[in-house]
Amino acid sequence: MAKNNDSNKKESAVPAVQKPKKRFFNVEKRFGYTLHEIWRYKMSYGLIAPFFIVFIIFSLLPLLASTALSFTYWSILEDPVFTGLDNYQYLFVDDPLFLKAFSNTLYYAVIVGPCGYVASYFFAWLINQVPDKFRALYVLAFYAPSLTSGVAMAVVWGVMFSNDSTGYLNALLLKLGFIYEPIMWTQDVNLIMPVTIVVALWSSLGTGFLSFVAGFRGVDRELYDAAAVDGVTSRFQRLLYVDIPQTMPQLLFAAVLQITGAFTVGGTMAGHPSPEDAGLTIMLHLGDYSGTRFEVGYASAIAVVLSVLILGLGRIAFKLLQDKE
Amino acid sequence: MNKKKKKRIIQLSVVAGLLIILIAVLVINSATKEPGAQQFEYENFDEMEFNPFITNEDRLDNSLLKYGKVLSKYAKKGYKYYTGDDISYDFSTDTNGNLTIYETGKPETAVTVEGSDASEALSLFSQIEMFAEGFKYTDPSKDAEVVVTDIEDGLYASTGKTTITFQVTIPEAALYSLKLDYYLLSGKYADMLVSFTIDEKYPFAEASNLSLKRTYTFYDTDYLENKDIVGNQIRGKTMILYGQRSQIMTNPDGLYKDPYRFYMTEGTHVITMTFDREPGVINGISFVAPPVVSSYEDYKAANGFSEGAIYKGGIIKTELEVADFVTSISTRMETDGNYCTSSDVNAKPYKVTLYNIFGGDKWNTGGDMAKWTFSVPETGWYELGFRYKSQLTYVACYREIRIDDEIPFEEMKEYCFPYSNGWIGTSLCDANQNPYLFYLEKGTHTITITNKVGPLRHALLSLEESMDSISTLINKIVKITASTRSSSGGYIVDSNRDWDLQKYIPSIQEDIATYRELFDKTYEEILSLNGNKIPSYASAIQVASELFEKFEEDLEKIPTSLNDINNALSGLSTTLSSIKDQPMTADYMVACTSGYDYPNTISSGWQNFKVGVVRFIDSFDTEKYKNYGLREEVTDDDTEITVYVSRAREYVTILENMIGEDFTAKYGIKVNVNMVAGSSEGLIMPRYVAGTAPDVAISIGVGTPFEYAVRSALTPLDTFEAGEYNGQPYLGFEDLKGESYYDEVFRPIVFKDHCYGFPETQGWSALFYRTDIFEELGITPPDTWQDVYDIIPILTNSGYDFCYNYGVGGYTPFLYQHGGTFYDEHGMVSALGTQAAYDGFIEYCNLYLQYNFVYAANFYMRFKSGEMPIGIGDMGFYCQLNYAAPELEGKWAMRPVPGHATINEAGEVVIDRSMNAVGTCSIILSSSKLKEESWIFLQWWASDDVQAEYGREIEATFGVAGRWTTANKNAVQELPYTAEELEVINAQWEWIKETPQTLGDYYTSRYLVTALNQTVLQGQSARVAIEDAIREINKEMRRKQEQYWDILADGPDPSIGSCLHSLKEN
Repeated sequence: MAKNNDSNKKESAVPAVQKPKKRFFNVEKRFGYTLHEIWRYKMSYGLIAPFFIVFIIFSLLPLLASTALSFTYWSILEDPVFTGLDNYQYLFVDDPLFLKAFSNTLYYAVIVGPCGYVASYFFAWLINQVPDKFRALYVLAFYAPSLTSGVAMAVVWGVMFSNDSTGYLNALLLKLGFIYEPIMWTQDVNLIMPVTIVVALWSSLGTGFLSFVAGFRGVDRELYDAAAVDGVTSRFQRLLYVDIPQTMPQLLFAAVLQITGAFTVGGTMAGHPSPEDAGLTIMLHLGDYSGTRFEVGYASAIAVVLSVLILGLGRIAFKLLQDKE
Repeated sequence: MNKKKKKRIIQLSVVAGLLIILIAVLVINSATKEPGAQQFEYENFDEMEFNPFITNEDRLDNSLLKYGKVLSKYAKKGYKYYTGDDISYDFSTDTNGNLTIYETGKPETAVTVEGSDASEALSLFSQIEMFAEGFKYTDPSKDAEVVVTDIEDGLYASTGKTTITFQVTIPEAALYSLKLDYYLLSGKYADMLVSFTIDEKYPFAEASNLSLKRTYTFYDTDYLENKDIVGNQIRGKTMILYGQRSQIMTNPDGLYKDPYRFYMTEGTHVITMTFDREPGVINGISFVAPPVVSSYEDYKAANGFSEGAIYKGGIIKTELEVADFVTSISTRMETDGNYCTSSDVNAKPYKVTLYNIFGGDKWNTGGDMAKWTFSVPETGWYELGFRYKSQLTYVACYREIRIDDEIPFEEMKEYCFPYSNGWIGTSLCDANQNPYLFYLEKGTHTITITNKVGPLRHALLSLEESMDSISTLINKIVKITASTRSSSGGYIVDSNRDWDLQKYIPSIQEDIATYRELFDKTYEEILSLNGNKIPSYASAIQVASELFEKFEEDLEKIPTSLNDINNALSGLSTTLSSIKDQPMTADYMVACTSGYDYPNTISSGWQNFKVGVVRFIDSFDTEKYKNYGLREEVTDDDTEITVYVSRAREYVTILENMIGEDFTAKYGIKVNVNMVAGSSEGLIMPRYVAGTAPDVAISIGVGTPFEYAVRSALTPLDTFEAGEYNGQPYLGFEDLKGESYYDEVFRPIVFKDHCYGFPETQGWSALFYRTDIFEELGITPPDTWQDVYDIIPILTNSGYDFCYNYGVGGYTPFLYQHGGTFYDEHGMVSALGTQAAYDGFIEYCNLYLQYNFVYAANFYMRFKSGEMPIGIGDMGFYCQLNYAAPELEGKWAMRPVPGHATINEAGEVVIDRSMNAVGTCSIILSSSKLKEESWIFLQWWASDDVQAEYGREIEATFGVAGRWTTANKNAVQELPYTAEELEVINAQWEWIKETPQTLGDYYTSRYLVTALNQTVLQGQSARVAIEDAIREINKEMRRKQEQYWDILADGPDPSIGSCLHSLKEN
């Protein structure tokens, strides 16, 4: 026992007065040492365990399984067959629809991602100016759309962008005399993505927005006074020099969410399959292969590529926004 | 000490909180009570006002007028009722064997009857060879054949149309009623249609649409004991109750208070009668004195009322769940979980399913009748009361009540059961809430309740007339403003222009005012006739009234609001059918002493709470759900197969009952029926991978078996031979398919020489057209697409459109009718590039490019409004028309879909009507360990009798709206379609052509839509669009074929199998 104490520096952190305890693990080995450390901080590990177990079962394992399956041909009903890099070869070289889906997704992500991000921050900042009493009300009003996505999309926006003259938008344009024939909002190849983006922006104030609202609340009030002493006069300056630096963690968190959200966009207003695949996104393409075509291997390959893409962009966000201290 | 006090306070507040919650729950639960339904006063007469929009309507011929208006004319002229003896006629034959008719008791007056019958010459029932030994039918309750020999002889009317014409001599000029004696023979669970004319004219318009009602009864005599192992009662089935009936002709939909009466002058008249749809014997025709019913005061006086004669004993309660007979197969015993609902069965209604009430949502149709027997212990005056419940909010229900087949007094002709919020027990009473007293002699009596529309008939009529008139007005305005239609069918009006409508339609200001007043009046009428409560359907009238009020102020708003008017009209047409919809539920009837206080008719809040708690706790009892519908416990020794069904609860319950009664009893195989939500395909796949797949799945889309079969997840069904199981024979694949199913239906479920599914349901399409509009235009319905093109200019000139589905489904018939196919004969490449397919594509695109067909339209709404008097609809459309548009009855007809004339193998010119019929099928999973048993279940399920019976049960539950779309062609003949409808369906099914499934076939529809859109919407070259599509389709098919190359290697026919030789030749 005493030997262990000598051989390990970290172990000396344990107060010497403590009675020598029975060790469960051989702390000389690196792995044993790790387990020993885990045991030492068992309380902390216990606290994160519920999340971690769920994360491993529902996120990490599927990701690994999916990566493994992406090298196979698997029709679900039969056993998977190893096919090497065939799926990736087809994905990058042969599949014209993937390019279409990729460009549609990118188009969507480039607009909805940053715009939604900025809008979230902007509205959170605006709401922060509102007296405390009404703030919750405003937060709810802005946050609600992102909760009701599925049903509300279909009902509210379906009526708004209805293809016939009874649709709100068509009816309005007809009434004002801008058009004579109703526009096929969700069937016109050139309009599917823009319409989808408009709807997405409406519902883009999601979890990121909430974290901003919370972030603003967490800014130390004294800093405002300090800033005022230092010569900050307008609210905008305060935003620039106090609020943004103070909400960096939230900015990072929201950025990661925003990237993930933008790239995993599923259904569009046109449904699937859409006219000339104008509304095809990577997720729809993936679902098409796994559902309709019984090609889970290939769908996994798409999923892996999408994950890598999101991970990469996430890294960039980290680089840009992480606390540099 | 302080701490203890604190603790005490916390304890107290917890107890107080719980108490408050409990009280709140009780209050909420008991808040559902409302003071009992109040009877109210209402006027009631059959005479109807003349149409304010037609000048001199009263001068029109009676045969064009509604009965109510004819009555008004009679009233003006002061015709009297005939009061003499019945003038009856019987049938006989003369020496030549011709049918004759003579006045009852005077054979010397016999005259020959002219006319025809659908099957052969007119004949007496006794002359029909088939009935030489009497009329035979199978009584399912005894499972034995019953022979009826004592049917009084008379005219035999076969399934088709029978027409007879004969002369009668009428003794005096007066009003008469018509009475028919009849015996309906076995048919299709429908009523016999009757019409009659006097001197070649209908005495009133509705005389063309009368009916002789069939009667039904329950065949489970021991229904009280018929339970599953959990204790849930199993509902007895309905069967036809055969018997001699007689009926004074009345409105079949219960629209009028009294039976029809009509005026005949003294002397001879030529009477023509037609009988249609169902077979029967007409063994008596009489002209009788219109029945007269005395008022309540006279009734009391006539029966010698005295206070002392009022019955003083205890209540006599009669459960109503089992009626002696009903005239609609859908009105029957239902289940109710209310604490206070009583039943003859000794069980709690909220713990198990008990069939403890009668009626429900289906006891709503005017004209439906139900009869019960009850008995009273002594002669005297009784109050009669019911525990009943209104099914629809604020809707009062009108019913005719007869005691011993006689209406006791005037007020019982259309007695109003006022709206009750939940259950209520109350005696029949007058507007001052004073109960009526009925004189009943000691012994057995019957009570007959017939559904009526009641005084609401006037609201119905005025709405109908104003709607007709408004449609005409719209047409007039469109002619003035020259509005065009958008592709979706709405009117496009230049909103920046002013029209001086008054210049073109001088009366428009007054007309608009008349409409508005009429709407307001109708609204008031509906309000007062539902006891000053407003049913939800009345809101459409308010909307229309507000709209017209707006027009009254500014006529210029009309041309730009045509779409709004159309919307208002479609709302009103829903109102029309809702007015007639007066559903009611009855628990029991009591005969009781005067002033009897009904106890316990309404459950208290505490009882409701208890029921809720018990049910909530019960919902965790999985064992109970597993055993639902089982008649015997399943043990480990039993063979049990698992079946997935993705249908609604009612469908599954009926299936479970039939399995228990018939299948398990016969073969000894237990069946675990699983109701799965949504599409069962989605559930079967993960289950299959996990090794817990069911043995059988039914209601599977026809696209699925192929995909599963390719991946060897299914059992081929064509290998099953006929055999025996438990001493019971069962059919093989070929035996079953041979006579009962169309070969074409198997095409999508074939893969590599084997068939992997069995058809279950199968829709049909037909050409629907409005006979009234076609008559007006003087054109005949088209038979070929060329005929369609010929009538299009005529239709367009009058502002009418043809409805045809835009999309791949619309193109398919054109492809087939031109002789094209989707794939080559091996199913390896797309065949859309062939000349035939291309011709079909061009012709189809031209429907929209040249003939300006509408892309997307609500065919049902516009067929009703008459804007689209013709179009191709499917079975759903047919059901919708029958169910929701009764006002169109007789105004539409259907024919097989238009086709293309081609020359068949025999060298004759035939019209090729090829079209697909969408359906579902049943499959057996390859993982099943009980394949033979599974097949036995499938062949049982697909057999003629079972499908026919299932269809009947479904029809009884849902009515025509849920008609079973069986794929079994013999079973379809048993469904209550009319002979003409069946003819159309059979003719269309002869031309069924299904699309084969092949590897990568999902790309065909995707890229065909693209090609269609490019050609039709974007005006690109059809050839280029098609070639682009074919390239993509072939690429995907090739890719898929490469994945399954080893399977294809030993015979590259993925889609056409040799198990269906007839298909291979095509």
